Amino acid sequence: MKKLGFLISCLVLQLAGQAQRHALSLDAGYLYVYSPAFDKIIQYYNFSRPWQSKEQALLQNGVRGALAYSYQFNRRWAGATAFDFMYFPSVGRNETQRISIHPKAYTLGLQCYYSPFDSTSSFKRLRFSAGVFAGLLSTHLREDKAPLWLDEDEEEKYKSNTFTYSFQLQMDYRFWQTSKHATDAFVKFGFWPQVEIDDFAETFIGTNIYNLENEGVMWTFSLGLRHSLRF
Amino acid sequence: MKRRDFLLTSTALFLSPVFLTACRKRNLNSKNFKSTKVIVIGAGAAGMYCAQLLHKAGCEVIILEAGAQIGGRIRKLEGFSDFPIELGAEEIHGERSAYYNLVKSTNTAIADGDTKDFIYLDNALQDLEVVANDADVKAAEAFLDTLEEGNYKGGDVDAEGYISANGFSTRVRPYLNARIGNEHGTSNDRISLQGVNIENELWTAGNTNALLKGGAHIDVLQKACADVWAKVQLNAVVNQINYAGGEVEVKTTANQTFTAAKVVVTVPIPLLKTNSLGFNPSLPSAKSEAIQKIGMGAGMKVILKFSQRFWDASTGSIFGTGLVPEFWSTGTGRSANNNCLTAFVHGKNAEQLVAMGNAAMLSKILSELDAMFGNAVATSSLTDHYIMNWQNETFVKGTYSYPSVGEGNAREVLAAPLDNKLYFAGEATHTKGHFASIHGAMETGLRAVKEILESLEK
Repeated sequence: MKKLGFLISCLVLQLAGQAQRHALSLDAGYLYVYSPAFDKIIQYYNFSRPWQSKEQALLQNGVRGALAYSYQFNRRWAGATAFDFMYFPSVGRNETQRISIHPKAYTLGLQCYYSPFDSTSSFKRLRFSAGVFAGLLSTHLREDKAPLWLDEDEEEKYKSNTFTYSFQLQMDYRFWQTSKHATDAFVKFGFWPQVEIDDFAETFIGTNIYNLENEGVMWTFSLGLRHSLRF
Repeated sequence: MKRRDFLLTSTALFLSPVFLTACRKRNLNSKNFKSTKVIVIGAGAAGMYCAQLLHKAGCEVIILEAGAQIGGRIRKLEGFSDFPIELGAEEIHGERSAYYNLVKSTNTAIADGDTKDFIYLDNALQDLEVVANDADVKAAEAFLDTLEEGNYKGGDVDAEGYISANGFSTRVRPYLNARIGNEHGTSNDRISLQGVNIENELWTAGNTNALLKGGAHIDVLQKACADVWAKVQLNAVVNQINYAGGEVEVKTTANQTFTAAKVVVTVPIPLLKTNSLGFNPSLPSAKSEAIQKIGMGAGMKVILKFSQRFWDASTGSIFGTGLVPEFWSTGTGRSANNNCLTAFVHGKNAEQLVAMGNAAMLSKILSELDAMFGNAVATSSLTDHYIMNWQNETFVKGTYSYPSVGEGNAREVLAAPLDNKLYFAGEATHTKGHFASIHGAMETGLRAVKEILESLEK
């Protein structure tokens, strides 16, 4: 693993060294998440608590941000090293209790960009990319205690840190640029083959008598804006 | 692709999260389950919760209860003190369960858990914390911690044999009986240490042990199962379940016949052991053998009311050396005028007390308190008492199931559905260590619902 990391770092430095132009960019956007395994756990949680006036939300809406260093080799090809952050909380607000789940994914990855259209084409501003990311999924489970309850308010019940990785496909549309700055809109699809939250069903529902899986695949879809500073 | 197509595609992409969010359900889908008839036998925590969830999923539910009241082993005694006394299930075990969540959602207050425990050691009643450094107490507590943490490695043997073989002092053996056997629904000669260890290892509900202060468990259960509460048919004693045909036919001693696609059996283990439900065909031999392996037996609470409180105001438990392994202060944290103690007895000690008859039993219990507190204070200040002997309850015959030696995977075998028609719930069928608890019973009810809904989806 260490050797692989070293080789990748060398490759990135080599590619960056050959680049004609460099850029530092910042992404921000909306994130949509779909994970059938975690949906099922939350569905069972909600089903098992019919007395709650408000159901626990699924882990489906969130925000995404990224910081990337990119290097343009030629007009069509570019590469980037990026730090990607996702946060997709779920909150169940009830009169006497509020439970919130806070999954955050911190991943580092490599992306390869391709601009297929000529400068004369109507779609010259479109660019596509594919990338591989790996990192940490950190999940916190918090509970606000009822006023009549004994324990402290806002107790952190649970924390899980697990390794995760993903494959990302992205489409950018550059709608504004100067010699130094550029702004793109992007749409990004991600596939996460293995996402795990340790003992999630046991902790969240309080039991795993239902034999629910604490891991599974996850799909992400995000759209947002990127601003780049070119040098 | 034309510019117009591109703009349309982009708009669709931007709107897709709204569409996707609307499509995903936060709860289990119930569209396929309408018009499915399910009979639930037993109106305890498992049966009522199961019925409520089936009702919510759209099923037509019939609830048959052999007894004259709803609640099973949840029962309250009112008018005896200035707060409702729990005659059955009393503590809320753990804070990460549907039941804990339910209690919170009903705004039912709980008692302050800050209490002191006492032990009758060397003919003197002593604060357990004060004698914590006594070598024998220390060894006993260390062993209890080992069990609590799921680190016991001594094999599938009974607690009494293990404790004798490992040289625990006779000074603390009654205490160990109170904390292991009695607490788990029996006595140390009948309980499997390996079983207790596995239970602790699998436990995920947290370590809070709380008591209700502003109400009783039956009231909380009623709030949760309000939609089906009035549907319960009381005094409906099932004596035949025919599950050979397409539908299951359930008959009662009053010659009523009910039919349904699915039946959930939630009756206590002793009733299954004697085949009082009359399964036809008989249950498979593996299931019958599993039922025989799961322990449940004699157990009772004797509530004692005194004209004065002669015990420390902060008392939680008092561990004795006689036939009553544990007394607890019934109203600590619940009532300012708390003059009640509960004698909590299981297993062979309970059998011995019951064999004496009620009058002699009461006298024996009071004599044990007199020995601990002196001056015959208990006998002289008793004003009222209530004996709740669960073994005498015709449709219960015990308090709660316990892990017995040789039990193995009996709970898994018992819990497995039969022919997609018969489903099993109730605290004894909990396969993940949460048996003998209200939330555990409820979880088995939900498991049965899950199994039924999954079989309907196929």
